[in-house]
Amino acid sequence: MQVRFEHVRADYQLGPIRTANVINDISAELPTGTFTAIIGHTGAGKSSLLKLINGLLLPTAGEVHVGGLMINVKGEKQILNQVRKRVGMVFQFPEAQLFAETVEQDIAFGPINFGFTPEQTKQAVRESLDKVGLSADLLERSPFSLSGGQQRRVAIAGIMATSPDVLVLDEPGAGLDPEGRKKILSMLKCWHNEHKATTLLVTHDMDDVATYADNVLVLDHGRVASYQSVRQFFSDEDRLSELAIDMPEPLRVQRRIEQEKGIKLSQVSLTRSELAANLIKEQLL
Amino acid sequence: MNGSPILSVKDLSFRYDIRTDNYALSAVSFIVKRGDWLAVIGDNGSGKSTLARLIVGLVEPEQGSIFINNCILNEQSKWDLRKKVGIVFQNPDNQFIGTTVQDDVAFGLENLNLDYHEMEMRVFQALKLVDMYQYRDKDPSQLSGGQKQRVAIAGVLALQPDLMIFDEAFVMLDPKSRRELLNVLKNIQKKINLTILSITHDREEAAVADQLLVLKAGELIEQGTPQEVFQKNPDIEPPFAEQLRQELKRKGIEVPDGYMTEDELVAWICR
Repeated sequence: MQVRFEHVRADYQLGPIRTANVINDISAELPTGTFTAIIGHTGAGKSSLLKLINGLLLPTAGEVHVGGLMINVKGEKQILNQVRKRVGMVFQFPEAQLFAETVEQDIAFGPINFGFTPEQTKQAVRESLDKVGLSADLLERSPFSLSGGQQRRVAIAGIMATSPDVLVLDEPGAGLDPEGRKKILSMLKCWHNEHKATTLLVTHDMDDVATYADNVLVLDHGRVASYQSVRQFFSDEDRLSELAIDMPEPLRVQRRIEQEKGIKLSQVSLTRSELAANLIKEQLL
Repeated sequence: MNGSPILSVKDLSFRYDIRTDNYALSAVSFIVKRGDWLAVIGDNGSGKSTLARLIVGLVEPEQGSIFINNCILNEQSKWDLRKKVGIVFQNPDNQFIGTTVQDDVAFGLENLNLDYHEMEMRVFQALKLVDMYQYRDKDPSQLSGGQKQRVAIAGVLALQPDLMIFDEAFVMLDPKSRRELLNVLKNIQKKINLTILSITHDREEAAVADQLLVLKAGELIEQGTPQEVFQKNPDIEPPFAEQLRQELKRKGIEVPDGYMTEDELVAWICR
């Protein structure tokens, strides 16, 4: 399902006071099945952009298209309801939203509300629990008796159970140890590939961008500062330093080697194995 | 003075719920020498943060003892010993009190009843150490994340603690400010012979330490220099440079044997 922004503006209204355009004339098209990383500094509008996709924040001007559905300033209830069935949103620290007595009830909450039959719900719960790598004997446990990493998986399973076409992720790895982080992200990436979902990932970690995303959209003061493929984006050294964006570790080390040797490798290395391969290929060792 | 233990932990065990057999820490012992930087790593739930809470006396050990400067930590001594131990938490926003940077740094000193000139000097020195002196009149809430964390560190440095604890204190920072701050701390450590205990997930932060402890499910499973620990335990993910060295080796390149830091690896490639 395609996501398209057309000249979208948005802000937050607090009583009579409006904040300056948090989202300031954004136009972008995210094709079906792509994995897009959204990056930018604090306050750049990343979370607001995510909220626009399922109508938690309504545009003050412009249109947000999700598949055939269109959200505009009117924010019609019927359309929002349909959009929300298609868009799965994983907020930061999603485990904070767990509420039910058992893991099974918690995961089933979404499907039941979206009108799944009891059998469909049961199946969806089991499938998504399996997808996030938890065993079925946790179903009867209280979600609060689980570890932080397991709680996060349960929360994510609750989103997956509704089988959304668009998956929106706000820092899903935050606060986890490196292994836990990697597991959650590769699990999400797998799910993305299997479901041909359109995925948006907000992250501060450039290694995650390099490892998981196809495209990267940089926000700066509510505007799109750059939107291109990950490889193109990281190749442009000047633009990176202009936007004060960090490099993924492999690229940072590559640049360091290049500088000290006074040479340039022909390709940017986005992962460790790419860097190793590039160093070998250019016979630097 | 170097070499004398500033912190020694003996046979420390702790459970949050004594009805269960779930030990958050079981029989952990180690020593931190003055002027050393000790990093504690381990997965979520390994007992790292529990250890920090025990050392500052926020929770009491079930078994075992903690000595700070050769003085045992207990209900009576904890008020005095807390003056010797400073702790910096994850999110600096949670601990700002002052309306300006220098007020905030002075806050802890006010509680110590120091005289004005002494306070002024300590605030000045602390802000100079973290390189934030030029921001002394700014409102802390206006600073960037990295700057805020520097101010929080200055607030603790001004108390002139014998031991400074960082509990995941750099996770909120972007990689660049994190690297800068680690360099700043490494310099401070040398300059004033500060003893540091840092609790972290970050491999790069662990790699700058002098000693490394690895906790797993409450047990101390490894202890040594970062080089020894990463070399002996292939299942603990090492810093990026070492991962690269291992990968090159697997691909049949004749890299030097043994753990390498980023500086060493880059120097070897550019030899």
